[in-house]
Amino acid sequence: MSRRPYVRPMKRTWFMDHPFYRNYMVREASCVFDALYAVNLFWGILQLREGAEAWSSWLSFQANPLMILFTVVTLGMTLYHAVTYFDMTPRVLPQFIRKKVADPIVNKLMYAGLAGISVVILAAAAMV
Amino acid sequence: MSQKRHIEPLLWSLFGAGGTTIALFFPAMILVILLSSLGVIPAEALSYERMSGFFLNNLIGQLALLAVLVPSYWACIHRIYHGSHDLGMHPGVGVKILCYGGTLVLSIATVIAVLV
Repeated sequence: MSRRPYVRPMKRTWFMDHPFYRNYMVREASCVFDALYAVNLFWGILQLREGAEAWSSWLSFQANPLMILFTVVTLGMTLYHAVTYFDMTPRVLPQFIRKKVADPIVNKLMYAGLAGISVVILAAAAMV
Repeated sequence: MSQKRHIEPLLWSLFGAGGTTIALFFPAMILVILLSSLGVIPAEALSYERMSGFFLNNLIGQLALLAVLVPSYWACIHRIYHGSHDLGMHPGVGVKILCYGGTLVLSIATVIAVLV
């Protein structure tokens, strides 16, 4: 059962030699920030369940200067993830869909989705 | 070809779903929390009453929260695990079970926290 695939030896910094691979690694790194942020959101839900006091302590943790720095970096990484994801979406669709809908249209639909969802969330936050 | 069933297509689907939810929902969610922390939008926007009312006591809000959050976990762990190969690390089956098992536990904990 155990298969031992051949692993070609390479430097750990192989991706630093070419911008294409460097951008790929930045994109992959974005998931580390999003993972930590997702855990932060999960922690927020637990605090919300605890009650008003626990929730406000979670909110004041979000306003911690280091946390704000982390949030800004995560937002930037997430947007980079989104842009690159939208670029590749048409290319990973099944061929029969790809034949019917042109790649640029799929790409624009993804941006339209992001815009629409963002407007709904921001409007919900603004309508106090 | 081996006729053995593999879990990889399932993990790949969750990864794809999570990539989409992160790309579509996370920017605005993160921005709202950031703007509230900076005092740009009023604190009442994220008040306890509003948040618990929608995300803990409204079925639409509860399901929306789970639909956004749970696949996102899987996308992140899938990319972290596969990204470790890019960095020249080749963790074995034990680490894989730990990564995905931990994500499964986190997913179940999230569903329980939101719905129960």
